[in-house]
Amino acid sequence: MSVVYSSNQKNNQSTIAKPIAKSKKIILGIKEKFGTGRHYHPGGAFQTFPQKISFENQDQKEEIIIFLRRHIITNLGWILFSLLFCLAPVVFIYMPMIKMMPSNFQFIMFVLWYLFVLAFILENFLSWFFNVYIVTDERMIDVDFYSLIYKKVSDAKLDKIEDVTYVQGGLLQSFFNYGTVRIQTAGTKGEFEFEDVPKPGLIVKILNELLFHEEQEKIEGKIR
Amino acid sequence: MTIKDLLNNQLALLILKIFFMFALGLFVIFAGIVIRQIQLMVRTLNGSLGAWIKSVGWIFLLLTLFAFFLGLIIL
Repeated sequence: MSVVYSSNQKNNQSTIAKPIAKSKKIILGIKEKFGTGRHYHPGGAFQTFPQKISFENQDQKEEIIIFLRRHIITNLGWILFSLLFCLAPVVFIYMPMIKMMPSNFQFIMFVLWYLFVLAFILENFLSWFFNVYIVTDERMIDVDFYSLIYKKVSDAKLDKIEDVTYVQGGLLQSFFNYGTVRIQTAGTKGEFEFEDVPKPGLIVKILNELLFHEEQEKIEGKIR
Repeated sequence: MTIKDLLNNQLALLILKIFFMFALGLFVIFAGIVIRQIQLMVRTLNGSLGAWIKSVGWIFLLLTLFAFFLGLIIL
């Protein structure tokens, strides 16, 4: 474990200081450089050092540094469709086939339609809310729920990262400042992609800072 | 026989009723799956909105059950 000693100058007495763990040093370095808690919101798409979030196989001392979701603007498509679906019965009611149905059947048909719209909204929201990208002081994690019944969780240690780039193209991405961060790793999964995440430039900066600290530790020869 | 005559036919209405009740039943099953999936999702990623999302899932299930029984009564 990497250690850093600091001296306590209280009462002009030097005392043996407590060693600071490697990961804590990394976290302190990141916090000093990028701040903390400025981006916290429970439903937010970009959060640094979120306090009230934890994930399934998180170690006790592992701390989340960046917590990401796709930018909220990426939900615009299904939101617009949902609004359209809500208004659709106004058109349906004039269709001959439906007009000729007894009124009780028409009513149940509209109930079924709105249940479908609710299910559509719920599924899209859950998909956006729970498909997350997490960077901790030890690794990065990609949580994907492909449908309601298929889940994929990938992770890679930070010291396996070889290359970090980001892509930001198009009017919407430039205007709302979101893009895709691509991380090349030496692990089984060759490439991680943080798709359509906010502030990709800042994410790359933080990742580079994390890598810098990892490299420093390697140079100092103190491996965790 | 026109479509109107067809829709006034009792047999046709019965078939339509079975179809609608089947669809409502599927929604109840779907809502049950959504509840289970929300539980798994919240277990994978736990945050401050977990309880709220679980409540939304249960409300959806209650709505589908209500719609199912409404269909049984009305149709």
